[in-house]
Amino acid sequence: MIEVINLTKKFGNFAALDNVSLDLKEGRIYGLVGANGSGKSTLLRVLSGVYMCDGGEVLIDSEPVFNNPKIKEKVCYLPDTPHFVHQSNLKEMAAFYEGIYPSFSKERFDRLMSMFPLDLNAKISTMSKGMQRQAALILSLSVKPKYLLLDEAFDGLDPVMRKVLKALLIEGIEGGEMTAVIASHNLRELEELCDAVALIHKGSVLFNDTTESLKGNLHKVQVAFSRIPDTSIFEGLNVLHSEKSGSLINLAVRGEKKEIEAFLNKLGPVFCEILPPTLEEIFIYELEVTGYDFNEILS
Amino acid sequence: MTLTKSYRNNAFLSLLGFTFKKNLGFTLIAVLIALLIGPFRLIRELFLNGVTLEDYLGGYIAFPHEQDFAGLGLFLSLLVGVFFIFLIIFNFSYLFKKSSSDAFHSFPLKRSELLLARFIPAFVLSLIPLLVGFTGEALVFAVCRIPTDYGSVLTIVSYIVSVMALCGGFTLIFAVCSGTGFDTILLMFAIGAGIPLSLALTESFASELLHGYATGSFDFSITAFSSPYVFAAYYLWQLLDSSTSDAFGAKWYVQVACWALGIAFTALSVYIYNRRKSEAAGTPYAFRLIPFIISLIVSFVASIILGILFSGQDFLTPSFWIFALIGSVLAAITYGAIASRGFKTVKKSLLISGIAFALVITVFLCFATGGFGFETKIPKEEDIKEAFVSFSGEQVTFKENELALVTTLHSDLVDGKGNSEEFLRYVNIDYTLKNGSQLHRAYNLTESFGADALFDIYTSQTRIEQIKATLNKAAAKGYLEFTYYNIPKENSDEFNFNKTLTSTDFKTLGELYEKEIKNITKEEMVSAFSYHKDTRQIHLSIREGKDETGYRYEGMTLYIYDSMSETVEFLENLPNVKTE
Repeated sequence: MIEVINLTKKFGNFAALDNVSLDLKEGRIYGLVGANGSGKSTLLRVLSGVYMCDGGEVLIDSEPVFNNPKIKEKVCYLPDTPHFVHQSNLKEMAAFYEGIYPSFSKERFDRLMSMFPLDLNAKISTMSKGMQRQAALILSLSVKPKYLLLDEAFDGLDPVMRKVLKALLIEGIEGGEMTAVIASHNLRELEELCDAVALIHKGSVLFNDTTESLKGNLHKVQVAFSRIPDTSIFEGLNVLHSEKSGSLINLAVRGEKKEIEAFLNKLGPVFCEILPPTLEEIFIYELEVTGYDFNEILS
Repeated sequence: MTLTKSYRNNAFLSLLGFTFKKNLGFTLIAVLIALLIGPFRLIRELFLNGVTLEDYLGGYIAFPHEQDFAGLGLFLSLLVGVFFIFLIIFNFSYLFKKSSSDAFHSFPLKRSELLLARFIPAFVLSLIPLLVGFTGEALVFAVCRIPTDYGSVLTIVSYIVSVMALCGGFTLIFAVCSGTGFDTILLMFAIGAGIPLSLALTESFASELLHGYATGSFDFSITAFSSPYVFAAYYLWQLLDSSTSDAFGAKWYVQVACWALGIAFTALSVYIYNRRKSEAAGTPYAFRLIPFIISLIVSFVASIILGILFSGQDFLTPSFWIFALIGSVLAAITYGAIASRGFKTVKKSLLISGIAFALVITVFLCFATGGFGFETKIPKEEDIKEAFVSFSGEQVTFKENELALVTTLHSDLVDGKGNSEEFLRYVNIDYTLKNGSQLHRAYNLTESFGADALFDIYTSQTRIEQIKATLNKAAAKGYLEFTYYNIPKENSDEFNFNKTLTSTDFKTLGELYEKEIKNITKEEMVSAFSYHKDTRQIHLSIREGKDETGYRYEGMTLYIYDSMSETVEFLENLPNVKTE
């Protein structure tokens, strides 16, 4: 299990992470979502032992991760810009990783190589960005880490390879051998994959919950009235977002579905439908409350 | 578990082996260059340029094998030093880029293991061109049967390896503090050369301003020890230039100290590295204090240099101070622009230049006001174990008797008493105190000198006893070399004679000298030392013994004054050396 306890990480006077607390249980795929510069990559780097904390602590399996090889053997971190040894090919990198990580599996590496269209002997530096990402993923997955930390895992992958990656991650989780933490902007990809999501905004965690709970707690409401009402009629609801489109009012409401239904029915709408939001919609609505709103940005 | 599997499962050993492999290509190039400048050059000389073995053995090149190794030692040390520093920077270049820094720091290795896995290959592989060069030449000499002092060669190699450990550990500190290769080199120069330069420039202040300051030899000076690079280079040069066994670098304890310091620097690097933030990759330095320190050193040095250049080293002129200020400002702003990759830190640079200039003023004031009592410090007689006075070729050691003559002379020099700017150029006084400490003073007698006190030392019983002791030593050893130099008077035809003396003659000379020297006048002494008038000189060389470098001699030069009539007559009546 990964425990993040009151973690603070500063760059100069800027707090990239401010008193962040998270528990990431084993055997799940976690999504780390957030706006640009919110602190997702910083958090991954702290979890992988690359950065040291300025406050709080990060424990993996109850031990601090920084400068702790015993714990870091269980963690494999794939950054947004993967690094390969100068002028190396995949074969050499595999040999290198095999020496560094005791859990590296040659069998898995060979199996993965058969799935991805990469040349074992070609210099990685000559490959395209997408192929380099594939190479990095092959190496990371071959390590068979207990904790796999991926920063922008899908970036640069074509749709087919994305499906392959998702299948491999699910395979790893279902086998009980891995916990994955994926930082991404691609919420549609994460929606299909993640068991839980944490939203980080300006260095703080806005929410951290299973996708099921998140979707269960936030609802997309489409309601229409014979006369266009003032939005103040919705004051009894915890409305995160409201938008009028002619006579149709779109709302994002936090709360229990039954309670929302009951409230709206009292208002006598001509049409009312409650839909589960997508992760992307949850992301947008939650951030809108904090002021990170595209209308604000455009204005 | 097989050995291979245990190696493979050990991340440190794996990274170590990996680094060795990655450095091999560069090592081969360095080995090739070492072969070219060493054994191949020697073979070319012997077999292509027509230099024969007889030329070597017959002294065509004096001490050819040692000198050859000396020359090889210099070039090879330079090659190995540059190669070693290159490998350190290359192996730690992962610290200079964000992606590589993230990757390496995510590996399951302690930072200390990461550091050692990258440093050890650089050190070990740098030894290869060194050993190949020396071994290659030694083999050529052995095959051609040229006598070679392999012991000296081993001593030189051993010294070079020990200072490699010293300088390598030192350089490692800079590599872990820096965020780019360029800034690593800048830091190396700032600390490795900037600090010795600062000390040397501070010493120039002292020698100009501090009355009695003895500049002294570079050997064992603070400047020589202020930087491992300066230490390594200077004592290597000394080792190659002199008899190997006498050189400071040849001493076993010096080499052990180099190793110990090298290990200490490496340990310090580990300590610093454990505190280095990974996010510093790509920024000039990982610690905020470093640019400040470099800027301060650079400004301080530039301030004094520019001031000296435009004032002729006259610290009391306004032009020195104007250009010193300009120098500190320009240097601070320039360095600040380089470190911040732009002119974002001009205000900070101006502040630092102000601090550096204030430091220059502080140093100046310290020395101009007497150096906190340095100028006026004269030890008490009861505290002095030994006082050594030297002036114009004269050297007298006072132990228990007549120490008052030395302190009186010292006091006169401190007070600036005396006359005659042209009499004597310098007088040095070196005290060894009873508590073991030493005090050194040197005075240029351009403005004043204590004529009375100096004359008293010149005619002191202590000096006379020392001269007699030297003459008696010569008497005991017998005549070896003795020149009676007749200082020619104006337009005279007098010239030099070589005289022969027996043991009895040496004793007689001592007795006559003792009897008559006390009768000379101050004016005669001035005339002799300044204008070489009314006097003769005798040069005496006593062969002390022989060591591996040849004969050792003790020399003495004496003025014999015209008024010392008996001594003059005695010398002139001695038989001349028969010339063939």
